[in-house]
Order: sequence, then C-alpha cells, then structure tokens
Amino acid sequence: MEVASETAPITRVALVEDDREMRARLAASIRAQSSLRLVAEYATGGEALAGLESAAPDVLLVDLGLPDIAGLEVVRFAANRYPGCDILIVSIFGDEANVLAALEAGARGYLLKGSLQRDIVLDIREIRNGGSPLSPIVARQLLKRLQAPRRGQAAAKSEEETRLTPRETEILNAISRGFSYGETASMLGISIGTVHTFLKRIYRKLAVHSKTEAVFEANRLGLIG
Amino acid sequence: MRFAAIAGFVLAAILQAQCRGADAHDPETHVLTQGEFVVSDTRSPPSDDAPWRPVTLPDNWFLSHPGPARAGWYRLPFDLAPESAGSTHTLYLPRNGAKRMLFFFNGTLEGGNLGYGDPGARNWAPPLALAVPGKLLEPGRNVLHIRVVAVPGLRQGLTRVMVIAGSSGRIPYEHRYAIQVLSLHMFGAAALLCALLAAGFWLRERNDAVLFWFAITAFAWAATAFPALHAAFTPRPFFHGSLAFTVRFASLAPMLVLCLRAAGKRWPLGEGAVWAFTAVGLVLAGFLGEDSEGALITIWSVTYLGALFALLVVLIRSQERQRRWAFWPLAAALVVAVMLSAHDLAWWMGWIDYQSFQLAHFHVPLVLVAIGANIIDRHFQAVAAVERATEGLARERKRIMADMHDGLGSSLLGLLGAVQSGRASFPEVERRLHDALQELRLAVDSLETTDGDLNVILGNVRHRMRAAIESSGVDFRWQVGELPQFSSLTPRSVLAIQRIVLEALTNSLRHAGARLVTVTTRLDGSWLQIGVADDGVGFDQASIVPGRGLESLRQRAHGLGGTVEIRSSRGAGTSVTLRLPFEGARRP
Repeated sequence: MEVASETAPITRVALVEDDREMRARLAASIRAQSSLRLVAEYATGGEALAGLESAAPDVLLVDLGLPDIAGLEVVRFAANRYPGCDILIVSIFGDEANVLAALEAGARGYLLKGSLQRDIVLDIREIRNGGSPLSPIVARQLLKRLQAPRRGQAAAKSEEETRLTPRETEILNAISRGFSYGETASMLGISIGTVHTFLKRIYRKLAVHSKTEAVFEANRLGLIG
Repeated sequence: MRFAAIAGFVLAAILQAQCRGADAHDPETHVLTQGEFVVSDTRSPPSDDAPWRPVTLPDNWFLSHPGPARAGWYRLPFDLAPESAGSTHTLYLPRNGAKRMLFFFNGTLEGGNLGYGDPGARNWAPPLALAVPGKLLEPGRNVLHIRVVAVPGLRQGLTRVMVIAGSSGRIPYEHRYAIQVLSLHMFGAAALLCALLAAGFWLRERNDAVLFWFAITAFAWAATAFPALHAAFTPRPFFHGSLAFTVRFASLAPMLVLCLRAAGKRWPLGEGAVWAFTAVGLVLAGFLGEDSEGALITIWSVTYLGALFALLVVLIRSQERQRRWAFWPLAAALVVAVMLSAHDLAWWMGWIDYQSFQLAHFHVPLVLVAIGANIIDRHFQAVAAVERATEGLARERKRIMADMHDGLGSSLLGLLGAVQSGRASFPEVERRLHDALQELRLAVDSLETTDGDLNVILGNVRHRMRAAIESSGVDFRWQVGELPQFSSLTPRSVLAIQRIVLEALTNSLRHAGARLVTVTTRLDGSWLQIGVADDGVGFDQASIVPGRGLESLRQRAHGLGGTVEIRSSRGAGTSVTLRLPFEGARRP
C-alpha cells in the first residue's frame, strides 16, 4: 500500500532484527514505499556496528532483543556516532521500561511489531518530520524524572540541563493526557514544529539526566573519584 | 514510664537495704564509728602525743579534709568479750575507698588493701574483708590503727569499719561484692557478647546504623566493666588520667548516639558536641593530676547526665504520636539509667551516705534488652513487609492469570474456532489478531504504575488507538479535561476502564460509519463521566438483543462500582457513557 508523500527526499532505512520473518515483513513494508529505501538489513548487533558506517541510513530500526549484543548498545552506538540518524526501536509492546531506556540511549521513538504496513511507514515518516508520538505513560514518566528534586549536591550545576522548563512541562502534560502533537500545539498556541523542537530538547535532557544520574550513583557507590 | 521510675527506686532501695543489713547490730559485730584521726605520714601508728582529733565514720575526705592527696591515721578502739577475744575475727569494709590502707591491730600490722591500685580510677569500689587471727586480739579494749592514703578530690576516705567474730564477716562482704563487682562483670560479659553479635550482624548489613552503634556502645560497656584491668596494667602516668576517664565515661557518648539512632533520629550538631566534649575530657584527664581529676569528673558527670536527660525528653516527646511498642523498653531503660546515674552523682557530691552502692552500671542490661527488643521489632517488621510483598505478588499474579484467561485467552480461542470452522475471512482473522495484540498491550500497560492518574489512563487508550483512529478517517475530538487522581484504582480497575473506552471507541470506528467521534470527560458531583459519542448509523435499542459486547461493557462498569449507559437510535449515532463513583479521588 503506497502512502502519499509530499515530494519528500528518499529516506534511507536500515534494519537490525534477528527474527528472520519479522525482518522480512519490515523489509517488505519499507520496500513497498517509493519514499523509503532499505539500505541495509542486519541480523545481529555486531553486523550493525560494523556496517552502519557504509550504509549511512537516515532511519535505523533496532530490535532490542538481539542475540549477540543488547539492542540498547546498538542504539547508544548509533546515537553517538551518527547524530543525524533517527533511531526507532522495534518492540512488541512499546512498554514504558523499554521505551524509556531506549530514549535515554538516544532513540527517538518506537515501532510496534505487528503493526499494519501502512502504520510502520507512517511512523517512519513521522520521525523524519519531527518525532514519533510519545505515549502518555512515558510522557508522565519524563515529567516525574525531570521534575523531581534531585538528590545530592552534584545536581546544582547540571540542574538547568536536566530540569524541565514550564513550557516543556506544559507540553508533556498535554501529551500525558492523550493529546496529539497537533492538538497540543494549538492548545498552547504554538506550531507543531515548535512542539517537536521542545520534544527534542526534552530527550536531550533525559540523556543528560540519565548520565548525571549514573555519575551520581557511581559516586555514591565509590566507583569514581 | 511511671513503672520504670518506680522500678528504679525499688532497685536502689533493695540494694541500700542490703548494705544496711550488714551493719545491723549484732553482739558479734562491732561497728566502729567513733575514733580519732591525725594527719601523719609515719609508717607505724603515731604515738599518743600526736595531735589526734575525734572523728566519726564514715569519713569522706572530700567533705572533711579537702585538698591534695595525703596520708593520715585513724585510731579506732573497740571492746571484745573475753570469750571471743582469742578467736579469729573478720575485718570488713563496705567500700575499699582509699588509695592505700594498712590495718594495725593493737600495734601489729595485719594487712592492707594491696593490689587494688587506685580506686579513684573506677566508678565503683569493691568491699574489703580481712581475716584477723585471734592472737592479735585481746579481751577488753583493743585498738585498730588504720593508715590511709587518700585523694579527697576522688571521694576517697574511710567507711565504717566492722569487726565481726568468726568468718561470718565474709557474708556481708560476699553480698556486697556480688552487687558491686560481680554484677558489673556479668553485665560486661553480656555486653561483650552483644557487641560481638551486633558487630557480626553489622558486617553483613553495613548500612544499619543502629547495629553499628549498638556494637560500639556494647564494646564500650564491656571495657568499662573491667576496671580491674586498669589496676592490673598500671599505665604510665600520662595515660593514667585518660585511661581512668575512658573506664568511667567511654560508654556514654556512643550510648547517646545509639539511642538517637534507635529512635530513628539524627542530630549532627548535638552528636558532634557530645563527641567533642568527650575528646576534650579525654585529653584534659591526661594532663590533670589525680588531685584535679575530681573536678573534671564532676563537670563531665553532670553534663552527661544532663545530656541523657535531654535525650530522654526529646525521645519521649518525639514518640508521643507514634507508639511502637519497642520504643517503650528503651525509654524505660533510659529513665532507669538517668535515675541510677543521678543516684551515683548524689553520692559523688556527698549528698547521700558515703557507704552507698555505685549503681549506674545496672542500666546496662536494661538498655541491652531494650535495644535488642528494638532490633527484634525491626526484624519482624521486615519479615511482615516481605510477607505483604509476597502476598501482593501472589495477588498480582492471580490477576494477570485471570486477565490472560478472560482477555487474550478467550480472544485467541474465539479466533481459533473461527479459523477452524473456515468461516473467518482473511481480513477478519487479521483484524481479530490485531485486537488480541491490542488486548495484550493494554494488559502490559496496566502493569505500569499510573498512581490512579486517570489522565494518563485515558490518554493511553487514545495512544494505543492512534493508528486505528488515523486510518478510519473520522474527525476525532478529544475533549478531556484535567481529571483528578483516583488513588484507589487498582491495576485491575485501570484495565477495566481502558477496556470499556477501547470497546466503545472500536465500535464507533468500525461499525458506526461515523464521521465524527468525540471523547469527553465531565466531573458531575461525586461522579466522573467518560463519554464516547459518534454520529454514525446507530441502532434501535428496542429491537437489538443485548450482544456479548454490550453486556461485557455493563459487567465491567459494574465491577468498578459504576454504570454504563448506552444511548442510540437508528440514524442518530451512539453514545456510551461510563459513570464512575468519585470516592477516594483527589482533585487535581
């Protein structure tokens, strides 16, 4: 099924998935779209780490449960090396724990396994346009994590880097109540592009937050310094 | 609390009575209270020419001869009946309370308090008994000379002296020794055991402050319970004072901290002050000689007692509301500790009989038991918490099993039946598989903690329906206001709400042929309404047989303590309204 795309440039998609059938289905969905080009398929994390450089995808789909290395490692690697590449994890449930971990590692959203072909394509296009939809449960978790007063003194400096601004809070609050990005934008009197910009900033804060959290934990456990 | 106070009084009274009992008048017992005294450093009894002055025993030098340490002689006459004069007697002193003592019967040296070192270093003083051979005693008038070297500042001096016929003088001695010395050693041994036990536990459980301080305090108690060690290993002069200070006060600072921790409190400022105060005392004691040691002991005793009392008041006030049973033994033990320490302080100040017992150490077993009770209490609380958690897990497991059975399981079975019968078309199978997955995802979502936040719970349904909504092409309106938190919502009821809304939405999207679907929420008095309405084909409520779908909506709503209302008529759309009771909800 072809989804109309408004003369967008062709999006290069790479795929890391160990399940052959699943990989074939995803690959078929992507190949069916003229706006998407499947540039690489990997069955293991190792192959992906080695091949990403030459494949240079715009969008990378990663299954979290890979046989050799954790899918999150692939996400982290790709997010660090290729900041221009949008990463989506492929998940059966899109459950909070996995999605949050993936966002922290640098992913930008998730694809549900078993979705209709058309939905997969919509999701890929959405992420190229700004960001894939955040689930209310994850939005609520972000609100909690980035707002909660931080323990310890190490926080003072990184406070600004990890705390939500009032606007960001409003956006997450609307999303956690089920509103779409478009509805959120019109409720707050901003453009949908601005919502996307804010979300990117929130994801960055999440990444910083999880890093400082890790440093804080490590300090506490006496692993550093 | 009153019980503890009474118990303390009774304990003190019994012990004092024991002491009195030994002094009781008995023809065979001569209690020497009247005599003469002279300050003299001679090695043998001074002659009658010396400036003897009358004296009454007990003679606490802190009160009668304050000043630096010195030597003096007592001359104590007593009369023996002719028939008992030739037999062995026992000399008994309730308190061996001087640095050196030598006893001369009728001019012949019989013995002394050798080997006891300096009792001033201790917060106790053992009794003393000495066998007196009959050949030293004469019928009629006898004279006992006692050479005493004492430090007045350390409350040294001479108690009443008893000369008792035969060896029966050993009995009051043994009594007094048991109460004053053996008890101390017993408590010390108990403290040492507790300390080792607590230290062992602490090594396994490093972040348990109570265990740590319990071990430290018990070790300190054990150390203070063996003052004889101090005498045995005659320290260098510089360490002498510090060691004496340690033996006397070592346990107090850790005990104060321990009691704070056991009550779940931290007070860095106060605790720091106590430690600093202790350190200052320790160093000062090293520099001060034995003559100034008394003043130091007075100041430190008074301060520690004040701190103990303050701690007690703070603890009792802080626990007024939260009455955990394990707190009361601790409070009672502290009350007794305060009273016994006050008793010993009163003796130190010279306010009560010089022969009184030293009782402060009797608080040790009480505090040990109280802290033990606290630790046992915490143990059982932890066990109860684990049990609760296990029960919760079992409940949750049961719920998930039931869910799988009713939800996913029955969906898949229905699908299997349809496929087996060959009636189901391919798109139908795909659709139903999709529904089953959706069902599973909602079940997974219901495991996340939402804290009863209905905003998220409803939002999640929309999120899960996103693809279906977008592909249906309807005009979708999400008119959901800020909703209160239903803190009482269980995962089961969260799932039930989500399924109702999901079911209503799916019906509107799939079957109604609607152009507009609206989801609204409304707070109406003590009810929350969630409405799903469409402008689709509707159905005739009168003619339709209540199907499985509608019936299950009603049952789910009923399970939530709410109702579901379905309005529809042919050509005028359908609206499904879920009404939930508002109790237990917090306003946003």
